[in-house]
Amino acid sequence: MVTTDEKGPLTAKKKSVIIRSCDGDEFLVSESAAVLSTSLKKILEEKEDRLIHLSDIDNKTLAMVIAYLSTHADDGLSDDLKRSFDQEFVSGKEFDVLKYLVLATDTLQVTCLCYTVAKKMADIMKNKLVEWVRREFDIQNDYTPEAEAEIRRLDAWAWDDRQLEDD
Amino acid sequence: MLQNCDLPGDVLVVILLKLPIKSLLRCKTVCKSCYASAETFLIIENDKCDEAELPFMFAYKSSLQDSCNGLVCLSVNDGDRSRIILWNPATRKHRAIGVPHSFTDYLNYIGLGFSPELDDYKIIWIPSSSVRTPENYSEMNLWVYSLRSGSWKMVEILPYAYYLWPPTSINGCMHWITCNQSAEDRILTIDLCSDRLQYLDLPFSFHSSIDNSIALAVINGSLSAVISLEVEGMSKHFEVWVMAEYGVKDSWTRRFVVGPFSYISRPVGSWRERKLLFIDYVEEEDKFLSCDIFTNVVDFECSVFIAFHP
Repeated sequence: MVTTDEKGPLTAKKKSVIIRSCDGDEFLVSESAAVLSTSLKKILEEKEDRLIHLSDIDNKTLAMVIAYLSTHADDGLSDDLKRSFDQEFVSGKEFDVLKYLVLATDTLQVTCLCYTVAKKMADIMKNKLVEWVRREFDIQNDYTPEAEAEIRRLDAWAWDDRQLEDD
Repeated sequence: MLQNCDLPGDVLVVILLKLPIKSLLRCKTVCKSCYASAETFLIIENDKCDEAELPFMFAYKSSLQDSCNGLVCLSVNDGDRSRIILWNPATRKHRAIGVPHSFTDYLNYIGLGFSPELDDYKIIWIPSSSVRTPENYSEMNLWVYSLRSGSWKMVEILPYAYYLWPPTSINGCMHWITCNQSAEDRILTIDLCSDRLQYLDLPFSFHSSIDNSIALAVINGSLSAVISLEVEGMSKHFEVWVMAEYGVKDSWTRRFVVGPFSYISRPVGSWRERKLLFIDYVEEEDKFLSCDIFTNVVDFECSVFIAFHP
């Protein structure tokens, strides 16, 4: 799969940069979009080569991040339009997809998107059972049953009021 | 898709901090590191208060002293175990802080402030005397507690005076109106970064009394003073003076007049940058009133349940 945000052959022109995902797909991105990521900006300042290889971000996730960066680099769009794009961007996405996104935005240091995705994840998580949270994040319960019960007892008010979900 | 998606701890923290408070508390039971992340910021950082319920018993001689960034500071005096309690109503967490010596006297002035430079909360404590001896009644010690270091420091010995409740924090300094029978009222300021003390003058010579009440306020980010005018019949008005340039006496400007309130009303302070708080006696009940300085409309009132500091 090759995706470009400009017409023409896939060569890095001035003011463009090629980003390669861990599974080998290449994306042509304008420099103004790339530098919205603090990590990419640093890489571009340090090296001549206009090809950046990201060894831990897959093509689907990278495509989403680049769509976000390109939209936010577009001076023709108003802030209101960008805000509604952000909301649209995270709505309806699976929790798994959001996990890879939040990880990618953390690696690439795209703070605004990282917060937007984290907020969306928190919205999904807020009424879930603790077991659900452990499963989704692959976290081992390192409490003894007694210790867990004790912590629960101390914040009893947080547990009394609603049916929590497990799916 | 990648097979494995282990989120690093700091990314998980970013997500946890976006949770509503009840969900966050439940997440403490996920694992020990979630517990630690939640606890770290539950003590001081939260703006998610839905209801306030005291998590501890109010002892005899407890007083509400001050508040800062949603943290409430109370003093509890039950005999030998005098202590100050910091309480976050949003998270229902509290922390008891012992004082260098017990509250032996009636007069204890306590303020809570935040220093952005130090990223630290500080408690200012002015007990009227440490030991009951005649000499000590002429002076008061000023103590400063740093939440970060967890220790008290005696900073200064002040001449004996009254300090009006509550103190007001702005520009990283805490401000108290101090009244001394032989001199004019002044503003004591304590720099919460350097612990240095300084006095500021009020706009004009003023002696507070039952009829002439005064309070400090923060209006549009400037230190302000709310000063009562003469009683007319059964009511009185208040003038709002704003110190346009911080620390410069000549920059005090009379900006607003609000009222009328009853002749026994007194100002307490301000909130939301443009609203003044008063305590007044309305329909046979002590009430907190909130008055907008621009519209001079009372937009909120509630009964006073807790006896407040004199």
